[in-house]
Amino acid sequence: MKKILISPGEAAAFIIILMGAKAFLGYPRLVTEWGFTAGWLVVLLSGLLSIIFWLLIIGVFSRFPGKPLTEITELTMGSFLGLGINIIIFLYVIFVTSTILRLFSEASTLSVLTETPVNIIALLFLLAAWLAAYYGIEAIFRCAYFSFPLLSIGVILVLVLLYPYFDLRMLLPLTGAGIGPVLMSSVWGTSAFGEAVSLAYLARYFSFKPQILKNVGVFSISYIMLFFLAIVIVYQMVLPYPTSSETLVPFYQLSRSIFLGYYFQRVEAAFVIFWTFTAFLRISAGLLVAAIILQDTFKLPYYRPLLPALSLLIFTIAFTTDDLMQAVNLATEIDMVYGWIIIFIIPLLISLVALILRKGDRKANDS
Amino acid sequence: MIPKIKVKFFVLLCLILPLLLLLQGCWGSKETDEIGYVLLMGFDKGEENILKVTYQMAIPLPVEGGEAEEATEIIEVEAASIYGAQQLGSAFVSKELSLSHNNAIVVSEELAREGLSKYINPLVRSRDLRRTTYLMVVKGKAGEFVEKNKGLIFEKYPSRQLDVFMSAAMFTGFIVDSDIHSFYQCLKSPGREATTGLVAVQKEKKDEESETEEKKSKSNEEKIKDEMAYLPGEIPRKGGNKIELIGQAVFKADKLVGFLDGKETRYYQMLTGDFEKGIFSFPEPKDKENSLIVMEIKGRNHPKIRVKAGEKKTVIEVDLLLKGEILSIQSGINYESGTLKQDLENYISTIISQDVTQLIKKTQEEFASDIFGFGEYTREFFWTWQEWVNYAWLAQYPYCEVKVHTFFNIRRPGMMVKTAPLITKTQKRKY
Repeated sequence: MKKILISPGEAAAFIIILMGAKAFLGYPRLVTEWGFTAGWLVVLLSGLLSIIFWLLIIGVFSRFPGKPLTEITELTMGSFLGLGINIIIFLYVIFVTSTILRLFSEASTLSVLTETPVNIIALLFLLAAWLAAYYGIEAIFRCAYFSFPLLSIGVILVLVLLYPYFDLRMLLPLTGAGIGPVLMSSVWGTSAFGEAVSLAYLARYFSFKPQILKNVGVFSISYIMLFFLAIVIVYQMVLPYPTSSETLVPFYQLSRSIFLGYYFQRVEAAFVIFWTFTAFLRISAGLLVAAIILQDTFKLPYYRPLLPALSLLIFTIAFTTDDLMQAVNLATEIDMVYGWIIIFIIPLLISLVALILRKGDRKANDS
Repeated sequence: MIPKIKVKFFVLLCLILPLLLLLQGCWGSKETDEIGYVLLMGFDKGEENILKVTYQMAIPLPVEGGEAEEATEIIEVEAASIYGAQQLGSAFVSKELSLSHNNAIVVSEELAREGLSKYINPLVRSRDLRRTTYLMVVKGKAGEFVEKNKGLIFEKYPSRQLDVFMSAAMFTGFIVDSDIHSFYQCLKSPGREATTGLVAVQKEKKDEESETEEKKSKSNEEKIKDEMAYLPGEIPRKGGNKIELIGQAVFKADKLVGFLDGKETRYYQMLTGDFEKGIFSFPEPKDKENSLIVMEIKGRNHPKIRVKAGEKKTVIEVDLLLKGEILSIQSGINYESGTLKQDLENYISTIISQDVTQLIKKTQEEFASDIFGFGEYTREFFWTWQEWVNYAWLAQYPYCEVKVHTFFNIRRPGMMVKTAPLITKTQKRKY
């Protein structure tokens, strides 16, 4: 069997796109709703907190070199409890991918393909994701590696072109909703960086050591934190609070606000290309991670046969909510407000148990 | 024998290709001749229904060599809502009306006085219309303005008419570059009130007569000072387009409360930092009735604004930083350098400071509306949003003390370094 080798750069690009896709959906609005004018502070604090969470998790998991988190969970918690936890994680990944599919499809219907039925758009996204996942982890990681500088340049360009609106006063009062709510929402806000933990589930595909995996995680979270920070700051300057809490697709609204005279306006059409490409990558990545978690949980030899069933599952869950607002609220509640408990707290608890029981510790194992 | 991988690839391609048919957006596809592009929209109070909407629509004709007037068509329809009017329009226009290329929206004075928030909401929610669309108030009827806007004399391309007009703001200063976005932000901010550009149709001669009489009675000094103090429709002129863009509309919350003329609009832009340049006339300091000095004034830097919240009174301190170029000195006095230059700088600084103070006082006393956004400078006093909202700046604004200082420098004397004295024919030359 051909050995899959993923480089640190490819892993970082993959995770950055996985985390960054939400910037094109409701994330900037959400942090503004939480922190008011201090939405940017929520991003900063939650990013820093996520780095701490990541370091704690990876510190313990380096005791199990080359093993994915699914296997570590079973080794630490026992096969029954481990299986339960892994299924919860799997369901969470499926749910998040479903909401992302629904929201990207709805956003496309609202902005560009206004007459196309939303389920057809979702179907197209999902079929492409299925194809990408079928081609495998290398195809998606390399695609992410190739596209991530282009996407970064696209985002920076949109932000820079909005310079006529820049006014730092719009970020005041400094603590916005107040110190308490800002700190509280910074804890919830770590959900936005939770995809970094996916690295731990894909560990066996990487060609590098756990020490480098730690750095990949730190780099990815820091990079995306700076990006989120720039996007939220510009968003809050262009659409100062409270109007920033009203927009359905903030980044699209930002790109529509670019007006540099008669000959330089209406550039959102170019932005839609970046946006759609990110959506394709994000959904593919979600499908792939879910399939790999399921494969590892049930110790299956291949994940490809799972893809049609998982695609159908994602599609079905995506359309269980009747309307867009229900989908937005559900995504906010489960993905963003409680997501951190599943993504960070469960692995942290596993780490704690592993530490207490001295699992993975070579000396303990030998004895 | 065909390799297995090629067969797989071929099968995959056959499966994927039909899917591309779904990608072309067949559901929403429209031919260009099926769409009626609206270039300008006017809102008035309706007679038979709530709202009367007037559209200036593009007729897709080659404009080259033809009449610009033929390139657009005006239609008017009454309905309960903006979108209702758009739908009804399709009953007598063989196209689907699209707002995606709409340049500007003009609202009648009558409607604006009743409040604009209910009309702004559908505009900011729209996926067709951009928030960068110009928003202006018409002194009079919006429908009449849209009609008179048809076939502007100096602009061939109808889609560019108002764009070109608005770009004049850069070199006159008496047009406010107002769009839906800025209006909406001001509506929602606890630190400032909204304002828009002001437009109107040129008044008929008989309407003007009484006002002209009043203006004739002014002294020359007043006439020089008020050179740009016109509201749209009132400029004494002949020829040109039938519409005028000058001045601005002042809002309190979402309701129109008054107007600022061209002169005041320039000072407004100086205070907000949007002023680029403009030509100003000042009475000659030593002969105010008979001579004048003309100066092109440019913004030197963003104004420095400080709001000091005292226990008894809140003070607004403004430093205006301007520079200028001499365009004319009718008296021939050499103000280009030395102490005379300094005297002139101080003189102009004093006039601008007085006028700007007067303008701020007008917005405090007549309108009770902080259109300058001084309240935004109070954000830094507070830690939380709620504290700032509770401070209720807009209620305090009318009672604030105002101090304006202008720092004006003459940077260039034009193409002359001095004016040599006139020599009369009877005067002997001295060598």
